[in-house]
Amino acid sequence: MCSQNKPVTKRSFRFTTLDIVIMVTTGAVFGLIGLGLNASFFLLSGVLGVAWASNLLAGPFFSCGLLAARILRKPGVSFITQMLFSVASVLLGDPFGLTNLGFGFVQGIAFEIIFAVFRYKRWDWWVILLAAFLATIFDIGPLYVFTGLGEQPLWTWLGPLMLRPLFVLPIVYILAVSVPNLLQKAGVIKQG
Amino acid sequence: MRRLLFAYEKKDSFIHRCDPLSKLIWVFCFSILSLLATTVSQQAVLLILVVIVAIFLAKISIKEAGLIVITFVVFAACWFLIQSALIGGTHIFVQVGFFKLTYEGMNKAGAVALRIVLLVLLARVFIGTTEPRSLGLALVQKWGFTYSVAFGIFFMMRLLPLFEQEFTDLQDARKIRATDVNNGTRGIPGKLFDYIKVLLTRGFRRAVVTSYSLESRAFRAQRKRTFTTLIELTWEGKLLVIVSIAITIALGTYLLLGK
Repeated sequence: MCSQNKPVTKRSFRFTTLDIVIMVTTGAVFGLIGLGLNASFFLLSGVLGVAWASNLLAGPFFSCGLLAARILRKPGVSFITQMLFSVASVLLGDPFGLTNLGFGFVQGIAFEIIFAVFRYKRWDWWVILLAAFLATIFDIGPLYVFTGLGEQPLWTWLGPLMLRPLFVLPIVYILAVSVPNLLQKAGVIKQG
Repeated sequence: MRRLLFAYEKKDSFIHRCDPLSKLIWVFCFSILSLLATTVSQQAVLLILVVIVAIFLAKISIKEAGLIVITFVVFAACWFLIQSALIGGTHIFVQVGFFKLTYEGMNKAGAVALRIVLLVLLARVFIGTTEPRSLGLALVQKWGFTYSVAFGIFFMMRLLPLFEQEFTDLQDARKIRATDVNNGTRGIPGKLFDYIKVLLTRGFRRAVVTSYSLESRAFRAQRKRTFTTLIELTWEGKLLVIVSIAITIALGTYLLLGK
């Protein structure tokens, strides 16, 4: 009964101007970082193979949308930021070109599925990692289509890609969980 | 002072006079063609076309074009050398012991290597010749984008050179303070983490100031805005679009049928 008298404070899921600007900023920062990483991918994939090189460098690519989602905590943030990151990559002349949009779309959808399952109410570190985990699975689709994995024998890429979360999740934890916490401590942002 | 790769430069050239949307279509067409091209000769034709546009139509000097692609040429060359040896084939070009270069391997690896250079040059021409504000305005006025979406793209194009500048400043600062002493591969993740932290901190601080500034000017208060600057589709732009689409249809059909 007592709880009925409490004022109902419902969070608005509408994007504010600050939300939009933060999403764009995150996309631009990761676009610049991603350009360097994707160029390195071509170097590493020659030595280690496409699947292992992708494992080593994929972490930051999954962190962009999740970092923004962890800060803003609203539906659609991770998807939009991941797409903005892809657009920034295309504009910067990323070696993967327009295929970045395919990767961004698939990863963004995976993030949103997990956040939607928790009805956009849980933003704990393990939910972020779960979203990244699902994205690593979804990501195999565009990786198979765009990087020529299909032309190589199954054993050369299936094993490494199954181990992918082991490489990706620690980096996602650092970039999408620890970094927002550090930024909040420094007074740069306020999460949620 | 280092030259920025991803900054708009005001010049008077054919490509500068094209409207932003025409250039966007041009970039889109050549990006698709670069994905369809799978051999060295096909990528080389596309690269020559983009180089011609960059040097003669966008007035980017040969020296500048060379500087732009040089960083990526290193990656492209490494990819070419390693992949040429790894990709198998029946026609041997040269063999030293176990090391074997085949024509097939060189063809495939060379095509990807050229694509890396092509896409960077394409992006450089687009960003270097397109004023971010006019792109944002054109997206709203001609393609019917909502102005908050167009603003996002405009703001991103403004941020990219700023972040690039901050990235190089940060590199210089680390060198001066001798914090770049760990140059081995073990230091790379830590360095990457540092760069991301600093860029995000500065980026978010700028984001807060920008959002206050926008809201003080009633940004998003109304569904539609009145623009004092009108973007016109120029004849140069129309010509670029017609030629780009014609080339894409012709070369695209050839490349698809060739497969």
